[in-house]
Amino acid sequence: MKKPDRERARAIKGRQRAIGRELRRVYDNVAQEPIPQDFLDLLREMDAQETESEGGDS
Amino acid sequence: MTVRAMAAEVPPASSVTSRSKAADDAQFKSDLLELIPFLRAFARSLCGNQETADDLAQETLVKAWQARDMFAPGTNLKAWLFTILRNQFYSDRRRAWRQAPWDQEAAERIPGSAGEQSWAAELSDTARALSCLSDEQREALILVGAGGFSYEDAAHICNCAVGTVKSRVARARKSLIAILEGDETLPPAVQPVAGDAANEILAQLDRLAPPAAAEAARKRFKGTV
Repeated sequence: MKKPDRERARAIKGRQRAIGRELRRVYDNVAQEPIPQDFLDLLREMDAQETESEGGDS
Repeated sequence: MTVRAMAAEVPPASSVTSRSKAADDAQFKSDLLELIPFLRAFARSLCGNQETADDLAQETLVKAWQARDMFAPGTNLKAWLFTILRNQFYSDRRRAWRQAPWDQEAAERIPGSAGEQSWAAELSDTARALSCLSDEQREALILVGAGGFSYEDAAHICNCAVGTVKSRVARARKSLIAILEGDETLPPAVQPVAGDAANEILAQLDRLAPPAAAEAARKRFKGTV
């Protein structure tokens, strides 16, 4: 049994929109995750480096 | 570790560091911290893989820190960071999804071939479709469609004209349609997100997101069905 083309086109449009929503959901999900420790450590290392280069002077 | 190695190459700050420079740096760093979640999200959308995405985001942070004096305070730091991330992504081809731009033939031989290291392993339908877009179309779609950037900001990030971004987004959408048209596994129902399709997306979320985020997403999602 073959579906009418119009119905198929609508299904395709629907899937296209679903892909857009899912892309947004992935992006939002990651953006809502807590910042991993690696990243915090990295930022702290930058600090440490600054302190070193300043010769510990404050 | 590459990131550590890179960090070690940061040239020492000027020894005549003024108080205001130190204050600027502290401010810059706290701004960076705030934007990390978005950097990670953009990187993940580009790479489709958590590990490479987080590496990319970390390298971006290091580069941004090294180049912080070139950032004009008061301008869009998020766009500036995204530009760095994007340039890094492209200069580093090992991270690319697939080299070949989307074409009609590719649409017919997509399944799974995008590689285990990418989206394809994690997200079936979306990944397969996105992996068929050209890099330029995909990033335009991500920035405008998921990142919420204006066409103007996206154009700035991609270093191209506003009209170019608009046409890339339009072509990306058209390409998706063409890809889906060439796909024999279209769901029979007209409703794209219902029943099995909804369960499939929830299952994908579970694989992709940590439990807490997946749970929150599930609640949001259930509210809409």
